[in-house]
Amino acid sequence: MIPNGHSSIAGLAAVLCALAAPPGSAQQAIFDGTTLTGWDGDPAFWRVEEGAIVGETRADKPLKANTFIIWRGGTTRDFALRLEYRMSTSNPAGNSGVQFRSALLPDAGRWVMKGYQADIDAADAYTGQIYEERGRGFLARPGQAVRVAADGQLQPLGWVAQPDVVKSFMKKRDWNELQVVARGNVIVELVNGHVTSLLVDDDERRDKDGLLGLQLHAGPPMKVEFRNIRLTGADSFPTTPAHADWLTDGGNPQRTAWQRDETVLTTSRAKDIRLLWKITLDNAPREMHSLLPALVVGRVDTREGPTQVVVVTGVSDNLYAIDAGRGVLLWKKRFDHSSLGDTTPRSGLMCPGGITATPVIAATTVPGRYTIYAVSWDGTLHQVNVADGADAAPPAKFMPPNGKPYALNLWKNVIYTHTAQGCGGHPNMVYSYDLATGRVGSWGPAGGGMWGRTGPAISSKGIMYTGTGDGPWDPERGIYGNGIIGVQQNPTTKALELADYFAPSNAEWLFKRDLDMQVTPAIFAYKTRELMVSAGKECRVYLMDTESIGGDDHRTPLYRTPLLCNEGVNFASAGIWGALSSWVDANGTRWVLAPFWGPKHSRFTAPVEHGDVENGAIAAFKLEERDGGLQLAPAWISRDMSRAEPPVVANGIVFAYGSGESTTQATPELGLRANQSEVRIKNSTHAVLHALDGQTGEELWSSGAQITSWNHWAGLSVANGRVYLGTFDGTLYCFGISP
Amino acid sequence: MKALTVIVVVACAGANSARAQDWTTAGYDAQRSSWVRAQGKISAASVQQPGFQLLWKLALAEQSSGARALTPPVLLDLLIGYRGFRALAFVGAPSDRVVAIDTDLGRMEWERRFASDAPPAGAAPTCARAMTPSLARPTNATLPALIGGASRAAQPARGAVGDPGEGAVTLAQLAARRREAARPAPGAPQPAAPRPAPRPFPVVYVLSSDGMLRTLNAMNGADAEAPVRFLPPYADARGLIVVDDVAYVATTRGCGKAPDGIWALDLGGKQVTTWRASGGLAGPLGPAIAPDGTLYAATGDGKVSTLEPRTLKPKRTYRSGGPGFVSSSVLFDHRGKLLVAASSRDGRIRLLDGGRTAFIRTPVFAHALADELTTWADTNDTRWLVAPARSLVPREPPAPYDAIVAWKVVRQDSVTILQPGWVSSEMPAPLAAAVVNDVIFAVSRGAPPSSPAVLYALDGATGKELWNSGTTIPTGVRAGLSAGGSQVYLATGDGTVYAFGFPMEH
Repeated sequence: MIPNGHSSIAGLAAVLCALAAPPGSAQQAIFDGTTLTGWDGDPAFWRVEEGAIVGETRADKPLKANTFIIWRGGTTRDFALRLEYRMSTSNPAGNSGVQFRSALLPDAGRWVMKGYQADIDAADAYTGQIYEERGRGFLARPGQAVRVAADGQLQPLGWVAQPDVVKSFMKKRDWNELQVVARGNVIVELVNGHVTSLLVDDDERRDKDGLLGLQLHAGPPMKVEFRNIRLTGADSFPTTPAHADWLTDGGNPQRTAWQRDETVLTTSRAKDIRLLWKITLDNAPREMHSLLPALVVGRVDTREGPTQVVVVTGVSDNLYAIDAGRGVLLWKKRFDHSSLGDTTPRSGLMCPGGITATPVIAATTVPGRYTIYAVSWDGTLHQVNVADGADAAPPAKFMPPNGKPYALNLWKNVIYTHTAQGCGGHPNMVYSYDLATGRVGSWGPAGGGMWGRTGPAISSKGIMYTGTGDGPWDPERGIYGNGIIGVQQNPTTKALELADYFAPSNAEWLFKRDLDMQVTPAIFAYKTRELMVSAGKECRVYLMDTESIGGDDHRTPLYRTPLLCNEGVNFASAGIWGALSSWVDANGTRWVLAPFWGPKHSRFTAPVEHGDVENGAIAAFKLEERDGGLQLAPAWISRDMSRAEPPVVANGIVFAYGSGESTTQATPELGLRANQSEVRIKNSTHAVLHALDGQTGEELWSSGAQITSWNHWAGLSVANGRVYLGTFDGTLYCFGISP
Repeated sequence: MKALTVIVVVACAGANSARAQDWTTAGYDAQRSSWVRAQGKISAASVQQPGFQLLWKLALAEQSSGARALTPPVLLDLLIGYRGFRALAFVGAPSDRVVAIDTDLGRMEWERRFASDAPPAGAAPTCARAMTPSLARPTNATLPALIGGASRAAQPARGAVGDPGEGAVTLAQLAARRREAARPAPGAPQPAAPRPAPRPFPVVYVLSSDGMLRTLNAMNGADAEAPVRFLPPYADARGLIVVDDVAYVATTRGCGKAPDGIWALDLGGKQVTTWRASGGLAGPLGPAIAPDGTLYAATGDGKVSTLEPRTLKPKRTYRSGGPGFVSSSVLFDHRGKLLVAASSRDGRIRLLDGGRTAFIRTPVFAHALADELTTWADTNDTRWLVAPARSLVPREPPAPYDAIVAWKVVRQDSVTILQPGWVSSEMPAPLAAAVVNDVIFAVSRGAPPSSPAVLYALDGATGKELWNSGTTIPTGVRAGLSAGGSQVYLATGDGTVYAFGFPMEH
């Protein structure tokens, strides 16, 4: 029950204040009184002077838009903040405030924030109120107790004090003490020990976590000072760069999606995973595409020193580098595609245009320096310095524009990719770029599109494997649809040549029902052999030996699982899409993980299952030797997920997510017109990230509703205690555990 | 996910016009040739090898129904539906029931039933049995070409290496394409006449016994449009076909008090037009339609009448000079000319030559011919006409027997003649044949009529038997065959659909 009288509301606020400090948390001085260490603001407007952070605008140095100095030491969720401020201005329009649970808006500027604000102004017309910058605006004005309903409606609860009384609490041009206490959906603000506003925020859109910052308002010249800033309950960020990398989609050239260098994330600590930061980037989506999977370099030498850098690609020809520790944009690069002319999407959902291949990163010969290799919208290969976004080499011709290449792979100085959907009117081809000679090899299997989500996988012999999508299988006529091809660069001619091939015995059926073999294979060593797994929309997993992936007849794998799903033989919303994962546990057991969409097949079972599966799940297999051969033995099936996407593995934790994407491609009413972006976007929901115990599939943690958008053809990355996932709205989420 | 090109092609093709290899109406195509031309597995060489067999059978009979048999399936070889890719067969079943069958798996995809509000027919008792709906899918009037699903075909694998710094060779190919595109296209075709917006899903047309034409969504059988009155209730409708958004059907026997003739329903304007056939219409296939849309109707008084499309205005009537026709007319191209053939009551095939000057005829070779002809052309461009014949004349061997008889259409001394081709071995009570590539499929419904039916595959060039179904089919057959997707379908009198073909691992 919410009280409705002055005294009872004030009493509630007082109780909340008494309980302010989260259990076990200590007060932390987040400003050292002498430097801006840990703070990030425009040096033209912020400085330290006499033990205070000073923000000042002058007539000769005006501010065109509000700017903020951001505390980079952590985030504010449930916390108690206490600081002193002084407004030193004669202009009553002088305005400032303290941001909390806030986010950055890099598209509006480097030091721009949005979110909750404890307002401060020279006229004390707003001081003491709770406001939302660049959001919902006035929430609880001075003296007000307000509830925001789930639908965003403001509901007055009463008064904690009359406005003129609140005004009497303030000391003009002198130091005042400001307190903000936030616990769950309740926020209380106090000035000089008096409760000045109370907010009960049940709005579904509210931010529950975010950054802390101080505001300097645009307008007439003004000066504001802050000192003795103490915070209780902050969630700290690590400050030391870590050393695990995720330099290519799928984690490594073999595409196992297994982060072998993880030390922070453990199954016992998985419950402590939380949103560390999120950043909304200015990439414009095209069709359903937005952000490609993130890449991570654990230690890059930047001008600011060693930094863990996350590189994210946006479909509209954008590259972003983000400080992994602070969640702040380091640089952005947009490739020039002016040569393409009109870039309005016209080819539909499957050919969005833009940059579609996740780049690949490689270390240079200089320690701490890394190069991003990216194929831009116009088909040009770019080499970019991770530290600052500068060109590391001149752009080079690679492939036709407007195509749809998939994630780049790099092996012994050769970049590999493949294309699909005939985008741009170009044939579906495998491409290689020889970095030493600048020669490009191409080879087309005459099948359908090669659209394994994490691009090609490369074996220890340098053979590049990919599924060949939807097409007939007729090797006698040189047609290799609905199979798997191994293609290798001829070291002398630089030509790509067919090295091996395989098709399931029912390839004709797969073609007829559009059950493409299209999953990026995963390759791994097993005893003295090198094995490979792959799959398709039919929804079974194939185990092969890279020595001869289909045996003498090119139709015989080592093993194939029964159907895991797709009992309805559907081409959409069912089957295995994207990529597989593989890892080895501490006991030496080799695991293979398969994400699938749609209901589980009624005859597929595993020793451990976690409820009914209707929308998708992860199926885990153990590689076992039985009857003189190798088998993939079902081990567990995860909980239900809305379109389970390719998982990644770190230190015994399987990270998987349901994308929330509407994958319906046809309806009785719309036919294939249902497969249009506007229809599917409208019907998409939101992604959910899950951390599963790799041994049992038990859910250890879930992001719940924290991710508010969905994604299409995105993917997970994991390194140094953090898991990254981008969404359609251009937001990159970083979940993890502080070391 | 299908390659985009495939999606686009199929989406466009699937929405409003049938793919060429689909069996969309009685007699396969607008010309009623019953000849399926498609790259696929069925050939004279493959059928005689082990493998061609019964794939599945599906019983659709209802014990309570004494109505007439199932219709030969109408086919949709590729449907991209909300439940996946499907190859479907649509069958009209007794009691005004339509069933869609997944032809890969032999299981029912959906069914619809139509309850008639019309009172029972008051005409001849036989008409009361006309309770099986007629089915059709949109049909293209152009002559089907040899097709193999071009959108799904592929060129052989290929590779190349670009020069250093010049990128992939596909970049050079792109530049060449752009140069080509920059040249003005000589004699660009005139824009096509405006057409109705295509539907986002394929449809199947059903003419139920109450005379209503129903347009159903092929994905689920739901009404795609409100039913439209086409015929009087309980008319004996034959050969429903939809070309250029006009539905045509023939009526016979005066059932439902509908005069014998041809009916047209403009699906845009919903107007119904009728042409009366004074001598009654011959054959079960309805009118044959030429590539220019002209309708050809063989009549019971020995004439072939041509009608304008849509309006059914008579264009010309050709008198054979012989007894009435017993089969529907079939049309075919022969060296650039459109010929018309039909079988007549006197046991001959009569052919209207390309100059439209006279009918030529075969000798009397049987006491009776079945009511459907089939025509096909071999790889030497030799045109064949195939007729199921009863009691061959002369009687060889001594006892009269039934068989399939094939004739060649040849030019001799600048004159078109029909030359004997071959006669099959004995085949009691043969029904109309269907041709798949160079294989003639014919079904013997047995003698006496209640005997088990046998499906035969004959070499189109020699008539030699390549395969037969043996005792696979335990009951008799009343309706003909249809074929597509390397499978042959047969509906038996007990309400079971059989599919024959080569097994495919699922």
